[in-house]
Amino acid sequence: MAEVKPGAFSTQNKLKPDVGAPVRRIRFLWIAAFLFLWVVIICGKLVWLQVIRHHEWVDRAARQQQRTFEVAPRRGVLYDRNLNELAMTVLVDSVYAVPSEMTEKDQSAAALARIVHVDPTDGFTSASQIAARLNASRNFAWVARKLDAPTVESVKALNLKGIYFQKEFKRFYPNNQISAQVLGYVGTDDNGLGGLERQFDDELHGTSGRMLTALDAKRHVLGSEEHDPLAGENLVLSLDENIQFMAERALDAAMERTRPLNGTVVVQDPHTGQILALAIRPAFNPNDFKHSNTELLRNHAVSDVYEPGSTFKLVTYSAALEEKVARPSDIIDCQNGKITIFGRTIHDSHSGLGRVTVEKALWESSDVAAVKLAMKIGNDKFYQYIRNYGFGSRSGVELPGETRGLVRPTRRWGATSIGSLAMGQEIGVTPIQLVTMVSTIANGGIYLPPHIVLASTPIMKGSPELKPMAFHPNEALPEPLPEGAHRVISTMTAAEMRKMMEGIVLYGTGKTAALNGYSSAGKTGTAQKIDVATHTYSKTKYVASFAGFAPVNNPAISVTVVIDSPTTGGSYYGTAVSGPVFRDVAQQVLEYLGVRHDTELQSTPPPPPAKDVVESPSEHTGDLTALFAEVNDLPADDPLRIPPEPKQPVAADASVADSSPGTAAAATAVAPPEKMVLPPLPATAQAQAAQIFKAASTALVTGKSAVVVDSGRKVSVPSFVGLTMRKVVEQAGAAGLGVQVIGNGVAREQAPAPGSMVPVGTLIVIRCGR
Amino acid sequence: MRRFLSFRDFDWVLLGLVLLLSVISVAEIYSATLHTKFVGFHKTQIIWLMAGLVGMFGLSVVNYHRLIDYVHYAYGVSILALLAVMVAGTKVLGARRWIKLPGGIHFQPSEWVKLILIVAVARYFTNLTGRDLTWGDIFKGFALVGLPMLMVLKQPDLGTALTYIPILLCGLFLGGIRWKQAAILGLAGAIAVGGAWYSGKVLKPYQKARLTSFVNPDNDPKGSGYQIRQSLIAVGSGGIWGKGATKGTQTQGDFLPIPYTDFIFAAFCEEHGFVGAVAVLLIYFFILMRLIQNAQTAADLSGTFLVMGVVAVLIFQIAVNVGMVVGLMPVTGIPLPLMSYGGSSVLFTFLALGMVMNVRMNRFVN
Repeated sequence: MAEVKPGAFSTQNKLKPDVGAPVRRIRFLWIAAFLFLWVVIICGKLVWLQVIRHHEWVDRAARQQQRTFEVAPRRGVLYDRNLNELAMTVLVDSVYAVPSEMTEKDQSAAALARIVHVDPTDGFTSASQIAARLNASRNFAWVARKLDAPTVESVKALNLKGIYFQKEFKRFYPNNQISAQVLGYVGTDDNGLGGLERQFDDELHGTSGRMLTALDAKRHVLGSEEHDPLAGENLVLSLDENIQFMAERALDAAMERTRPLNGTVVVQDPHTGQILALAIRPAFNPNDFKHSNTELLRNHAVSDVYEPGSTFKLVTYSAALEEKVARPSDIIDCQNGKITIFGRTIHDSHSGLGRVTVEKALWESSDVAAVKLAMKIGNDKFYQYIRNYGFGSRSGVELPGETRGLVRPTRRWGATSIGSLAMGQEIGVTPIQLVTMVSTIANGGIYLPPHIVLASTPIMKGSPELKPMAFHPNEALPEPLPEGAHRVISTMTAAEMRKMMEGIVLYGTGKTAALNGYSSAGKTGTAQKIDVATHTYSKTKYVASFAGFAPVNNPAISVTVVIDSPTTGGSYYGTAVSGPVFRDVAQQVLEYLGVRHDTELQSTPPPPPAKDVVESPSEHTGDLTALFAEVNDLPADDPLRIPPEPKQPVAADASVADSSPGTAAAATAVAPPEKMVLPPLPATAQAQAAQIFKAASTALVTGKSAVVVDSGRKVSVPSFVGLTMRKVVEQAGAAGLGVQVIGNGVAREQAPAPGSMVPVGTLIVIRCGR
Repeated sequence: MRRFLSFRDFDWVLLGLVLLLSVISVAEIYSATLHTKFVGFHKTQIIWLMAGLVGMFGLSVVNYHRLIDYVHYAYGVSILALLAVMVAGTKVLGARRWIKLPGGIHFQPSEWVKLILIVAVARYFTNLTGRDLTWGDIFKGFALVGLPMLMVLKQPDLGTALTYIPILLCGLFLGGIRWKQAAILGLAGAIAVGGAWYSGKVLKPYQKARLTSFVNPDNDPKGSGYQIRQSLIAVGSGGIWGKGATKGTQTQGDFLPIPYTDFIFAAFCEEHGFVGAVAVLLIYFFILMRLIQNAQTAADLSGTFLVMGVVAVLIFQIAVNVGMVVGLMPVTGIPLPLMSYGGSSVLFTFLALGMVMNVRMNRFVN
């Protein structure tokens, strides 16, 4: 056979030769057509899957193949103005388990709980909860988070299978409760829950990093790709850690004395509006916020309103002077402390005054005079002054939960409202508003919005660009004035007010606020609290406040003290309760800032060497070595008694004599702590004022008798001459020496002489002058 | 009868296409097993391919008429072997498919039954050609294929049992079944399948679940639909150009089930994309068209039936496997001829091709 035509099959077959029709060709075509159709269908489906819906499938693949883990960023640091860390972030260990790798889950949970379940109120780490988590997941379960190092060691010592450790960030507040309400705290997941931590949560938090992990079907990690987290911004606060500490110490003392509901102290720079300290008691420890409550977390300085009472008369009087309805020397009839306006009789709480000067009426906090002055000013103008001083609006200070206070517009005033307002009733203010009002008077009449944040910066400490902004008292207002600043009263009125307010301290109700070596001014206030139950003024609960500044002529600081409902201590008056707090704080802070004394230092009972100096104030060239010997209570034959070189009398230059007419030697010495050094304080300050030191790690002694002298080790005395007081204390501290400072300004003379070998802890006597 | 065979008449084009696909297969098996404990399977596959080629050349010189002459013996042995499996087979994963021969070799008769059935069906329908099929002829055909099929179904091995059906259907179709008869048979088949489905006796629940989950794999993403879903993700995420060899995340990440055997086409689609997939489909298309052409040019009707039996099995397996991978067909455990890893599949395919080669080489011989 030569050729076989397609379709015309040879039917010659061995099995069935030459029979029948050939296989129908058409049926091959059917099969081929079916094949072709099938290819087309499959291709169509492939186009649908791989081209049209491609992205959907890619997403689905990614969803099951990749896991995104958030990598927590390091939270920004909260610095005080000197770049001391107030809140920082540290790395701590958290413990987690991979349950599938564990053998005895319940036993392991119990063993772990015995170590990590320290706090019985913490449900998260109880044995049953840990066991529940271990049984709930195969791959991951937290055991306990953010543990301290010893606990972690104990867990490691258990040597359990399937237990792993993960570094996590934990917020740490090195000073514990210092300025707790200002700083706030953060929750377990690094979210700010109070104070600045909440207010600036976004900035502080930073940007989470991402870890993209490829997984296989059995959840084994195949590879990962990381986007680094971006650390949060740092915040530099206007607070000065040391001033804050002083304010808190003074407030603690007052809390101890009077056992009030709460107390607030605000220290402000009157020339910039910056808050230097904001102390609130009772406080909480942000390192352990779980044990605090909402009441403790409340920042009373901005969130609470109270009736200011008499401190508000400053508004009344300054408005009266500015409106020229009265001058300080005008005679005003205080009507023996009784006045009736529109049928309502107002009684002075103090003994009634007769016809006195306006000035004296303020000194004695006459209600009658205040009412009369306010009525002369008139509703609308008086309201305007109230608002101009910042009452009734949020100050804009960078703290969460600020209230605007309660100030009713004039149309909602009753007939007697102006009388009430004149003496600080029918109005609700915050301590921040009050201190800002006082600062306005202190700085010459300009309202400056308060601030507590100086800068927000991604720069880390140690970078040359991040510089401490130490507070030095300003003598003038910033030029140009910051946004939100405006003049409330004239410079002249402000000066008159300052003089009148000084009189309150010198002759009037504010005598408890008198400082030693500094002039001070301020106004007391004692407001009855409104009883929430009866809506009447409480007869037992008072808010005792003091608002003032010092020194009078060029105020370095404004201080407001608000003590809510004092219960013990014999008095609920601002004079008795809050005045001393002002005095303690102002005295310490001014000394710390090195502000020149502007009044005579009062000599106080011993120490004797101080007396010697007081007795011969002009004898600046007196024998410092002898003084040194006495200060250190050296025996007569001690070699250090003998001056190492011929005595070089230092001529007292005029400025020294002028500026410190009655320089008294301070008899207080601070044994130098390792890190922080505070300038010495005059013994004339309160005893507790001297006890300014930080934490238990620092040793402190007051008076020479308590000086710890380790005679076994001697150090060389450095040269202090020419240094500022702050530097002197720092360097002495570094050398292991104490200092006894006479006068203020720059160190002029010292004993013993530089280079002398003295035992560690010896007090070096330094005479300072400008 | 003169016997003159020349390898000049060997279908080199077909062999080239088959080897091209085999190379693709080895490469994809290499990629798919790279990160698994099966790494190195591509080498085993090469050995199987070698064995398959030897078998193919060996069978290509055996005259297919000789095979047809003796097929009834082979058929008898097949039935006995399947009986032996039923009685003494090794149970693996709940299925009794293997006989353990002396020397530790496992033998799976159901694969070989396929080959024997192709020959048996060819012989049966060749004898019937020339007249329209009677119902008697049709039922005898059914009995011929149905007996071993039911035995395999009993093992149970649904996938292999199903591959017997196209052999019969092809024989009926080319043997001259009338459309009317086909329609009646189709209807009866549908009723039988429906009855078997709802009676719950023929198919085990896992088999049913596997057969239906392709319709909506998301209904049971962790169970029987898992394989379908992973396969679709692999194919879909491959896109037009694919992720590149050994770069398929579905394949390499162990998401895709058995990516070197049943789901090798999904692995290939993921790594080589739409372009690669269409290329492979075209190769299959050309191979099958070439086989159909060989069937048409066969020297006699038995040759035609023989080749078309092979075509029927291959089309069925390719259609079902690729359909499964792209979500058009249920998961049946049928490997992709010439692509999937596995000795049985390779040997069957190459031996079947060996018969085809012999038919072609005999086309001018009479």
